[in-house]
Amino acid sequence: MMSAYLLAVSDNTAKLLLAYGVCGGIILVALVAMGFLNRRTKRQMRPISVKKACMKAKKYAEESLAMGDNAQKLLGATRLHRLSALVSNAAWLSYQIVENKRDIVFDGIASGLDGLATSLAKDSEQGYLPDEELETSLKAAIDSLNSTIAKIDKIINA
Amino acid sequence: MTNLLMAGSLGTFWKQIKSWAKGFLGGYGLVIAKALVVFVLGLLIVSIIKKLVKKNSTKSRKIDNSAASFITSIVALIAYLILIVVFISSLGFSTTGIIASLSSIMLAIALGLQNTLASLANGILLIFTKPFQAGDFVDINGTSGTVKEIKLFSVKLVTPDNLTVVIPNNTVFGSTIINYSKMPARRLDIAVSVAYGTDVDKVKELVNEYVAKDERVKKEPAHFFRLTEWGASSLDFTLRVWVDAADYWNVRFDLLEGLLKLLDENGIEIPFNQLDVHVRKVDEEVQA
Repeated sequence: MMSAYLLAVSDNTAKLLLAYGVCGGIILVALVAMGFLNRRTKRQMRPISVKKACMKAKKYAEESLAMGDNAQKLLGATRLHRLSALVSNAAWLSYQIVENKRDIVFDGIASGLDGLATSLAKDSEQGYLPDEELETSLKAAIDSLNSTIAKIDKIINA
Repeated sequence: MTNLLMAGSLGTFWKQIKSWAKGFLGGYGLVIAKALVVFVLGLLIVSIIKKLVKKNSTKSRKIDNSAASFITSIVALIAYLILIVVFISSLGFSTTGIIASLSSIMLAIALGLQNTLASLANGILLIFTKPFQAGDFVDINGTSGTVKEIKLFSVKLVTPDNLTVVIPNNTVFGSTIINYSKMPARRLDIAVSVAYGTDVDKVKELVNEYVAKDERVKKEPAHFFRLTEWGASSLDFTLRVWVDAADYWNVRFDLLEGLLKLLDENGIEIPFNQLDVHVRKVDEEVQA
């Protein structure tokens, strides 16, 4: 009878320990995930992240420009829309730096990228674009991104 | 003997602690642990939601940054409120009272701030519907100016004489909004009056030639110049030309001055109001 009692008690204890263990494990995992999320956000709030996003957008614009005329005619508006999204991402990263680090210098960069993303989005909304207009938009975007990358390099090297 | 007594009372105390701890850990302690799990998971979910909403609203071309921050704050506030209610509920407390109190507080705030909230709601509508944007020249409720800023509660205009006018958004949305910048081209109407007896074809030829030379006047749609009314004192023509919105005023002033000189140079009379008086009979005394 004593052994049955002890068995019952230890079984109950095991269940309790398991329950607390699971709760503690979930809390630990959640805290680690929050820490990881904060760390990832902080890593994004660096000039180098904005530069990488701008370079990614620039590479996409250059690839679009290098595509044959036929491909440009068919996919022009779609590629401009995608380019706008990439530039928007760079603008968003800049705004993060402005908001969290109160970096006024980056406000100009963020506004410039935002303006570029808006004009690319407007061009892409037109649907079909003549070749010349598409080429002009892409070249203007590449020039703007080059100038932004140069400004960021100055900030990084300062 | 004292030691034995002390050992005995300590032992009893320890047994009581153990019994209490067992009861707590097996009962309410587990409830608290589960509630903590709900709270921490909730915090993680709220952080993810905040980041996603902020990222997508900032990147959206349809929402400006002030609206994006506002939307993120509202979503975060609602998410935290839900989390608190769920946490309290998972602790085993009734949340009916809390929800009822929160509802009363929000109703009191809404009633007290109804004009401000109306401006805020209209501000959000303005941001989403975009009847105008920064840089447009507009007329709102009789006030004309260039839109400098569109904020959540008000719109800032700069008038042509450099005055800053701040209009609350509930006034903006309740008024007729005339946007002079929305369309790229505008039609310019000018009335031209000449004296009765003037050669109509000559007037038309002169004006049409003059207007056609102005490069700012669009060829499509073609301009219009015809006799539209026999006025009380003059023959009234209407000139309609299409120009770029940016050129509107310059073309208007140039045409008014240019057409006046043109008509003068060609001897075409621009009349003023005239009254013909016919005398039927004059008294002898007056005649004398």
